[in-house]
Amino acid sequence: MSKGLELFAHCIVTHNVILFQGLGIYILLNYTKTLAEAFKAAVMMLATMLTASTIMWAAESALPISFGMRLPVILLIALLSGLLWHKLLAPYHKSSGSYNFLPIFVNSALVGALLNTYQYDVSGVNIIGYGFFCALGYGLVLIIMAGIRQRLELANVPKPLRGIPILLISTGLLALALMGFRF
Amino acid sequence: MSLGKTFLNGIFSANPIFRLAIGLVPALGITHLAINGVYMGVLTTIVLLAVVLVKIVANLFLSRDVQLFVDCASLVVFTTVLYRLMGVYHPDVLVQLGIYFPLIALNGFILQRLSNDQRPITRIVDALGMGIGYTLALTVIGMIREFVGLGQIFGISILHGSLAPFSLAATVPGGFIIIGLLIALFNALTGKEVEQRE
Repeated sequence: MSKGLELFAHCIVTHNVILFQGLGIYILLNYTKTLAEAFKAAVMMLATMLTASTIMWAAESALPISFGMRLPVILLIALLSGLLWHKLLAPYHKSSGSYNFLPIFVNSALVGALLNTYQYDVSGVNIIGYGFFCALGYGLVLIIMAGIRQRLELANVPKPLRGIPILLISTGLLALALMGFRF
Repeated sequence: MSLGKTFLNGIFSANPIFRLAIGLVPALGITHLAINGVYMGVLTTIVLLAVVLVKIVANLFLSRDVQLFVDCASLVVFTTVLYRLMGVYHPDVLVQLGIYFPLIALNGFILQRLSNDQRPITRIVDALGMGIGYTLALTVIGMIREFVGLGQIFGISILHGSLAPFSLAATVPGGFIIIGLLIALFNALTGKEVEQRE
């Protein structure tokens, strides 16, 4: 996989990390109560993903990572980039309230996207492109779901379905709508 | 809270999936087969127990500032060791679980249990209860998805081709809908809603 358009379609539509791989659900459920919160989470994820994929590209170029070392290296890269951004933005977090933003920086979508680079044979500088588009696709879903969630608050949803259940069902329906584009 | 109540708490009233809605990634990704749910639940429980034990020992000797790094390191180490062991003894399971196996290291409910500040024995019982509750939840979701999506449970054909399976249930979008409906059912039965972050 090397063409830009192919990467774009793959990451945003046909293999979206949330909708078709179920990764990063915690952020979807807990950080999409408002559009502003979802946008913030999307930007943070984009920054972390770009950092992690750049480190991974640099590590891959400098010394090829053997099969046995892939998992610890990827986990360490994800943790390092997440903690780095968490530390850098710590003063901003303190001033904006008591939200814990660490789960946004270190989450399964980040590690899953990095692991997918091996599964889909993404190599070289394409790793950065892959990370960027995955984060873009992830962010778009967060923002769309925040919009849907705000509309759902006005709807008369049966009591047991309120909150997480209706959000999961709506996400499933959104995924179904995009499933038609899978080729 | 007594030890027995703490144990049962993780299975029913604080079930990671149905009551807390955390650790949903494997539930969506690999439970199209019930056996995958069992494997993932057991493996997650092993990592959780190991990490909690390390945390208890680390609490005795290390300051709080260093403990975050110890937690991260122990999660990475135990997940990697288990990954390598499974690669040697059960490579087929490794293939079935795919990228969701390494994600045990970032499972929300393991990270949540690490912030538990109770006495050591309570933490171990709590981790065991939570692990069993998580395994049961994944297995139930897996059984439903496998039955609806493939017409079988644990690989044993139930419908014998008498009804066409609804293959959507075995996909991630179908997983979203089935898990959403199961949480709603749990809400209706208990009369409570999922506890969300404030």
